[in-house]
Amino acid sequence: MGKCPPEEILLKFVENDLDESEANLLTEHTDTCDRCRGLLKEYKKTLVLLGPEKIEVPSSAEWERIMARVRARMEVRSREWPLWLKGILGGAAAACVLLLLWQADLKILRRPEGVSGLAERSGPSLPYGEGDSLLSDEDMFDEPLIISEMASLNLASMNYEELSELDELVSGAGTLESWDLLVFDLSEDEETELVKQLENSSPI
Amino acid sequence: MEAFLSGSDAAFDELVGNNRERIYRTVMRIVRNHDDALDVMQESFVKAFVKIRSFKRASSFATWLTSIAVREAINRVKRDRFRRAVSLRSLTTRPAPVRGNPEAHLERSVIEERVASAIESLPAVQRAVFTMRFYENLKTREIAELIGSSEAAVKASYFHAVRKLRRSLSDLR
Repeated sequence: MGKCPPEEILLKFVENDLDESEANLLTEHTDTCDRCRGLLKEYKKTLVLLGPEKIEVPSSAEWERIMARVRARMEVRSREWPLWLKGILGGAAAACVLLLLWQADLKILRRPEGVSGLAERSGPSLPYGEGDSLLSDEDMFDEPLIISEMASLNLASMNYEELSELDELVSGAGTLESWDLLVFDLSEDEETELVKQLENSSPI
Repeated sequence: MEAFLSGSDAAFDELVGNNRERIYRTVMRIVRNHDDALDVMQESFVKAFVKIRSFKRASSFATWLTSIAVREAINRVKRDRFRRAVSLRSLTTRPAPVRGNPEAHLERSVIEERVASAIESLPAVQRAVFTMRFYENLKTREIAELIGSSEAAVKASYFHAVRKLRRSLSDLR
């Protein structure tokens, strides 16, 4: 009977893909091998079952719709900037953002040495008086500026009312919500340093 | 081709128009769903438009476009199989193997249903290789070129596909 051939050979036989000598050898084998004869029969049956498959093509209207969509997408693409240009611009934008963040970080967290007090800050001077807050309403809602100003406070130049207000604020007795925000925006180190400065600058 | 490269959209329409029905049949046999096949065709045309300048003309435009569509179809099948694997909804929905309305779907014979189901159960590449060779009568070398594979791999894929189909359909008489 001889050794059974690989199944691939059986499939090739069914598809007439073997040369004459190979086909003859296989026929001799399957004459005496029930297993291979059964497999051959199954492969033949499978290929018949799979049969021809009729595929309907899309209608003209469907093709038109597809081509219209393709043309629309092509138009959008042709208006788009080239990928390499997008990459360069994206990189430049990212670099700018990083630079701004880096500078903002420095501005907020770094406490400059020998800075001037509120009276010397840039911009219009603020009319302080009893009961007034240290910063104008406009400044209170400009958090980065407030934080920056806070970091550059020179307590030695503040008067009694200002120091008292600030003292209340830092000790938790403050009532102005905007001031609370301001304090909460300070880091722990900054707050500690502020308290220390307040302690050393006892109101007269 | 030259007209399209010089900016004529009509030339592109003509280029794809000459091949679209033949490519659609190939794609349809792979994705087994009319709507998916149309989506694949659309994606393929857009990709061809975008990549046309990188077309090296080592093969004909028709072969190049077919290759884009066949690979897109294979990726679609892989993606859909993954989606079905992770979606409970897929347990109750299966794309129709051939185009048709629900009534026509119900009228299909049990054998057609089983054959379609068996083909759909094949992995994407095996399905593509099987349908292109069995239904489209493409040569192994042509299929290898279309899917970017070796002839040996294509032969192996074809055999494994038919063996799986034989096992799936062995109980049918």
